[in-house]
Amino acid sequence: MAGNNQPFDFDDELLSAYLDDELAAEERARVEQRLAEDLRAKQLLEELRAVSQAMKSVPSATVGSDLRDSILRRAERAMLVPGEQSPAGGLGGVAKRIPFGRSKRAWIWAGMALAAGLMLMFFEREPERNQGLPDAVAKRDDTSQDEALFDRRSLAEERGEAEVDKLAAARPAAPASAPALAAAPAGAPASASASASAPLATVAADRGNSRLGGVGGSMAAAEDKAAEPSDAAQRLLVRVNVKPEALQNRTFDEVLERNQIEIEQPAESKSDREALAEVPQEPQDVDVLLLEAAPAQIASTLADLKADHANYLGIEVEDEGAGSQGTIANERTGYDFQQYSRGFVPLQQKVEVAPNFNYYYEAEQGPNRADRKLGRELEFAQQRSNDDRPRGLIRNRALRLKPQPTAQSGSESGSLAYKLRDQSAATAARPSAAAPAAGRFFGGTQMDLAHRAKQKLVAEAETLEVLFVLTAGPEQPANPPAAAKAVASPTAGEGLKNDDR
Amino acid sequence: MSDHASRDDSAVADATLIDRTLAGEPAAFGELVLRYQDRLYNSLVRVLGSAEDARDAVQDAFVQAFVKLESFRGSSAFYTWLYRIAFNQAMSHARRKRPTRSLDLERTDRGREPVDGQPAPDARLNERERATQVHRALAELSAEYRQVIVLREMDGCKYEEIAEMLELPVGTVRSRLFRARLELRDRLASVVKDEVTRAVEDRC
Repeated sequence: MAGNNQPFDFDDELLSAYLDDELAAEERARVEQRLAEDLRAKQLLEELRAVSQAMKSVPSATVGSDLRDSILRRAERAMLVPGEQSPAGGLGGVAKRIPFGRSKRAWIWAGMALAAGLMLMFFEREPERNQGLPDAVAKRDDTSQDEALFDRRSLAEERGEAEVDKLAAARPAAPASAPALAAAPAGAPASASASASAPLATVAADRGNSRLGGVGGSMAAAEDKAAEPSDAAQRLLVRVNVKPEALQNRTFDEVLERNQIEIEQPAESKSDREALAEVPQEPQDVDVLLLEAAPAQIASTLADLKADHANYLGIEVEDEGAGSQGTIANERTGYDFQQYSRGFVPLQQKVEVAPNFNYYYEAEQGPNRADRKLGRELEFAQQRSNDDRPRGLIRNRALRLKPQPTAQSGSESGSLAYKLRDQSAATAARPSAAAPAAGRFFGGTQMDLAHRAKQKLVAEAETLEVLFVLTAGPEQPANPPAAAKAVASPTAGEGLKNDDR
Repeated sequence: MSDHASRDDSAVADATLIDRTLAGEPAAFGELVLRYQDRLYNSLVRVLGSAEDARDAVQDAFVQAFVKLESFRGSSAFYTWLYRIAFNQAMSHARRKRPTRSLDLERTDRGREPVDGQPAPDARLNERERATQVHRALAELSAEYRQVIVLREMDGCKYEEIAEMLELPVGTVRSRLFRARLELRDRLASVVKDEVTRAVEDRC
């Protein structure tokens, strides 16, 4: 604003500021004096005031909905996922590589944000990924998208419900924090939910200082070790609610094991243990694991989770972190990870065995489990026989970031050691071996296999890095049906979701 | 302005919420979203001229604010900082996009600051008409004028706050505001006349 050809002298500008009461006393006196003797100035002031009034009288606009849910979701992704950018591209370089593995806060966030679920993060080292993808890639498979959307919505509804259940006290941010967690004890002592979050935060914060920072380093190192020219991140976020008992029993570890992923307990530092000790007898309600595995193993793991209705209450696979690049994971790996999303199947469990043929049961274990055990052994045998294959191309390993109290933790080295178990490269290359019998009764894996057969097989060296965060889902209630209803109510929470797409 | 008093009160809580967010409690950030989403939206919808754009901009701004929250120093109010993020974003966005002219009048349903001495709506322009006119006039303003006038009149910001939000000297804010008002006066001749008349009547 260079001083230009204004037909008004400087004092007129003072009138405007006078109107806003933004003048120093001396200036104000000057203006008032002038107003007293100059009709034109008075007239102008009136007009300015009128303009001001007219502006102020315009009713204010409101967003019309609660944006917390969608904002926190996107924020979560932006924090956790390197390269995540806002659709507007606004994050620019700042967030470009931020958080994952670098920022302490991102790790804290990971622990906390995912209190509502389990998250998988896939880092896929595919050089081409960096250079923007063909448009075709961006086009999603509408069907799977819709299904995923459906599932996502049902989860969101649960969250919404959880939010309703939970009181104003500590209002849970819809997606991120611990709504499900907080609402978990439907019939359980309220104290659990109220007190759980605070110590948890402490633990997470502490961990952020000590351990997770270290992990970040390890991860960075791992990335470097991969020595790919450009390791663009590929991610898929999956949240899963785990039945508390299952969480305590480490059912998930079994699933990993079944999928040839070995878990290494991290060494616990003293401070960590103290931090944990401060959390009173409270059962652990979060379990964080970082793993690296072949896509086939991930898919198979997810299929296992999905099939186990008894232990894994809800799974939400999000593959939209990259916005328009949404389904790259699927495109690149040939896996449709989103198909593993599902809503809660509470207690009265329903399994669609075939179209229009639903199987209902109330058992602890899904109907497929016993069967799978057998299949699994065969699987293992086969796997073992393949052990003489070239090693070192596909690694699979898991690191428990947050030790559970029951953990018989390993060496007191203070550093984080991955226990690597080299897997045959064939894990990815031979789908039949790679995907255990898990979910064989459910369209998922079968379709997956067929799908994969059609795809170019994944590059042998390709691995995905995955961050699992397991959290306790709704308590197994004494009066199941009521709790089930409370959780699965389809109406609540709708408002929360309405802007997600 | 009572509006401002309440904002000052909430400044403490803002800081608390920010701390809690940084400590890993996203729900706290959710509170901030809830607290400011409408205020930010209301400004952005006037500035950007489109409900959809404003909505996107609000969300983008919050997401970015979350990511960058560690860099928030607390030297300014959270909202000021947030607005600056939104503003910068909108600016870089606008460079890629042709400017929107049409103003979306939807969702302007809730009155905010009732004008003193509610008038009988008889011969005067009714609210709706007036709002439409104001919007049209606003849309015709240049973006830099529109920014300041919206922040001042609709958001009730002080010059200093506006200066901070838009990263301008206070003097520039003051002069832009004056010019914006002059332009609006000319564009809103009938409304202004109406207002002046009312003001005179009110004084009698």
